[in-house]
This record gives sequence, C-alpha cells and structure tokens, in this order.
Amino acid sequence: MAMTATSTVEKVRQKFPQAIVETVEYRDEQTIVLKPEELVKVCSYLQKDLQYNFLSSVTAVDWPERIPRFDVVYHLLSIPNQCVLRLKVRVGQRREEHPAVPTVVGVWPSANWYEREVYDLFGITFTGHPDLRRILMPMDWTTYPLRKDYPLTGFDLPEPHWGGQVPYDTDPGVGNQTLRSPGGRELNESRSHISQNQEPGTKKR
Amino acid sequence: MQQQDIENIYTIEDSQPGEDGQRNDTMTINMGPQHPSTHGVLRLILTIEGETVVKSVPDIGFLHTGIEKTAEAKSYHQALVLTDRMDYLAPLCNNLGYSLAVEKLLGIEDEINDKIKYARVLLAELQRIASHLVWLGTHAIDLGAMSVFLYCFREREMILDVFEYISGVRMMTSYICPGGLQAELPPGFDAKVREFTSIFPDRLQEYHDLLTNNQLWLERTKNVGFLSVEDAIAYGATGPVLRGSGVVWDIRKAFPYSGYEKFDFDIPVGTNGDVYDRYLVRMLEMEQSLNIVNQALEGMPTGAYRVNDPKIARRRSGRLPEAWRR
Repeated sequence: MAMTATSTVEKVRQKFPQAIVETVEYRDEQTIVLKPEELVKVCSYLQKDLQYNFLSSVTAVDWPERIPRFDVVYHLLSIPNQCVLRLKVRVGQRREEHPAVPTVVGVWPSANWYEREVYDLFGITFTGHPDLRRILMPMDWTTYPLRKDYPLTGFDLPEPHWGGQVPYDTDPGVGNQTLRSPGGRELNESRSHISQNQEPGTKKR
Repeated sequence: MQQQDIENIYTIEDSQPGEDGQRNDTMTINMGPQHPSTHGVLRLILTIEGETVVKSVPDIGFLHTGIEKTAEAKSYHQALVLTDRMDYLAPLCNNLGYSLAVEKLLGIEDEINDKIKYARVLLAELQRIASHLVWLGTHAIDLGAMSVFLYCFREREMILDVFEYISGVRMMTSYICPGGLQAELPPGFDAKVREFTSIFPDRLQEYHDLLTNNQLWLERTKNVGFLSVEDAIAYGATGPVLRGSGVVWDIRKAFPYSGYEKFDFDIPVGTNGDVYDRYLVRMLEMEQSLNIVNQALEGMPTGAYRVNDPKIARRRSGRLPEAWRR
C-alpha cells in the first residue's frame, strides 16, 4: 500500500507515542508536533523506514507571547511515495536567549545550511551541528533579524558591517571634525547621531 | 562572534612546503562577489590545482534583503509585489506560488476558474522559457560563446514584450495575484504569443546546432560537475539539477497545481548527472514548456479573470482611462 501523509502520522503515533505532543491536520496538510529530545529518533525512522528521503526546508516561527516561544518547522518529502509531511518542535523557555534543538544533519545532509540559516536569523542553536555559524548575515552580526522583537526599520546606528570598526560614513583620516560643504551643509551628518555609549547592534536606550 | 573567530574561518590554508622543500601546487583564490560571472551573487573561496577546483567554500548572503521580515508588516496584497523581487528572472512563477498559498489559506481554491488557471499556466511556462534563455545565454557566454547570448536575449525580449503587452511591465508584473489576475487578458494577446511560439522551435534548433554537438561545448560540460542520484536527493537539489541526475521528479506531475493535471507533457531526465545532462534537461524543458503554452493557448476557456469578491480582488475605482476599464 502506498504511503500517504495520513498513514505516516498513524505509524509514528503507534511507534513513538511518547514523542508526540500533538498532530494537526489543516487544509489537507499533516503536521506532527514532536518533543525536541525525540526528534532525531523519529526523523531517522521516517528517513530509513518510511522513505522520507528529501528534506525540503527547515525554518522557524517566532511566537513572542507564547512559551515555548519558537516553532522549528521541518518539511519532508518522500519522492518514492509522493507525499509531504511537516514536523514541528517547540523550544524556547522564558528568558532563554539561545534555545537548542538537536541537529538532523546526520539524517539529511541538506539540513546543514537550513539549520545555519535558522541559527542566523532566529538565534536557535542546533546541538551537534558540524559547522554552526552565520550564513546570510555578516559574520560579526550580533542580533537575530527574523525575531519578532527585532525592529523592522533596523537600528539608529549602522550595524558594524566592516568588522565593527568604521561606520560607512566616517572617514578615519578626518577624526572627529565635522566636514562642511562650501554651501555650509554638514557632509558627514549622520555620524553625529552615533552615540559613543551605545554598544553596536543594540537598541538605543 | 569575536573578530579572531572570523579571521580563523576565513584564514585560507596557503600552500606549505612539503618534505622535499617543494611547495605543493594548489592555489587559493577568491572568486566574487564582483566576478563577472557571479556579479554580486556569492563569493567562492576556491582551492585550485591547475584548472581543477579541489575545494570551494561558498560565502552567500550578498543578495539577502530580508523579504520575510518586510512581508511580516504587509498585507497579503502588498506582499505580492515582494514576490516579484525574489527572483527577477521568474517573477510570474513566484507570483503564482504566493497566490496559490494565499488562496489555499483563504479557502477559495474552488472559485478559481479554468480561464484563470490556463492563463496562469501559460504565463508561468513562458516565464520558464525566458528564465531558461537567460541561463543558456549566460552559461554559453561564461564558456566563451558570445553569439548564443545575443540570440537568447533576442528571444527573451519577445517574451518580455508579451508581458509588457498584457500588464504594462516587462519584468516585475505582479500580474498573477491572489484571487485571479490583475486585469483581463488584452485583445490580440494570443496573436502576440503565437508570434513567439511559431518561431521558437526553429530558434531552439539553432541553439542545438550551435552547442549540443559542438566539440568545445562537450569538452567543457561532459563529466564536469558530477552529482549522483543519492547526493542530489540527500543535499536537497531540486528542479533541473535533480532531474539531470536521473530522478524522475516534477512537482507539476506529483502534486499538480493550477490545472497542470490537464496538460500533456513529459519530464525530461538526464542519465549521467553532469553539466551536459543538466544542459540537455533544460533544453528539453523549453520544448515541453512551449508544448504547454500551445495547449493552454488552444484550450483557453472564457470566464472571469478574477473571483467575484471585492475583499479579495479589489475593484478598480475612480476615473481610469477607458482602455483600463475591462
């Protein structure tokens, strides 16, 4: 019998009753919410025994009002059986800056970059990941842009793109002088907005 | 992350003298982001041995614009124009994916009539041909074949003329929207498309004549960039890359959307998984897309171009030029 998403949910429910938080069916799409500590076990089972050989994406959703705060979402595809399945784990206790989820790189190698992206944009760490560093944002970025509490318009201070050394409009040769055009307009005007007391990449106090 | 860590990541292993005092002959060079063939897309830290790349560390994110973050603050109709900008070679295809998702969430999938579906498929397949033409032209120019680039962009311009004719915009059309299409297909539209479909098979043959059996082309694409079936699936390759490795997988067949189940087309697949096979797959896909365009044009039903619900498809209001009131 051909495997479908519905029968997969049944099989996982029978085999790992302790791992499932809940299962959701919405618009004919099946979702299994798992406990983080059981994630890798269930994923290995899905990959090896149920032929979910293709990991389409890993992403996350930030629910700032909720505890646990984050959903980490995995979209699975079975090419032999032509069916798709969504897995979710919920992580992030109160005041937990970097919630941790076990990595699934050992199950699907494509998870490597997806998990780096989730780490980069949400600050969720993946324990056991072989190479967890930022992928899209600059290496010295200090914040996580896709969190809901990250301001849409960015910060007052330019983020330290160039190693935190020189804001883009500052000429290191000029020092603290104010440059003025012949017409009297201040040329390096935006530098005057930079507060010396503010740590780069943080909200203005 | 500390400055030191960053330097460690980007410290490039320079060739060291071996036991015999000779330096080994690998060289590390930085390619991009300003290299002509990557033009701002990514940076590659390459370790090369002669002309062979033995190691490549990609550094991506130069084109990351935070579209998800922007879209969070937009309504569903406002976010539509962002989807155009996700891939400037396939704006209509991105419109289509987004519109289908919004329609699924709204639960109005059944209200989308066949005319809308056919028009969407037609436009998406034209867009696929246009995108593949840019790929073919730039691929050829990167290997030194200048003329193919000019021919490809000549044909691509015809497709963009069609888009301009129906929507007023060449590239960022936002023409496919949640709830249908932005406007009625203008009269004379099908003649414009037929003008393209009638000449394109000959032009496709021209590309084949120039490249497919060209010895220079074969030597630079055959057995280059091999990707096995297992790796393609494990590393999440999609589209022509996956099919070039020999996996018969097409989302239009597996999960037909927007009426693709009514069209008759094949899935071209490769056998060797090298650059040449991926080239052939894309060339054959253009043929299949042309086939679908013709079917959509022949079978285009009549009907409304959007759902009859002003909350979803905004009615045009105010004083508009007569030509816009359709």
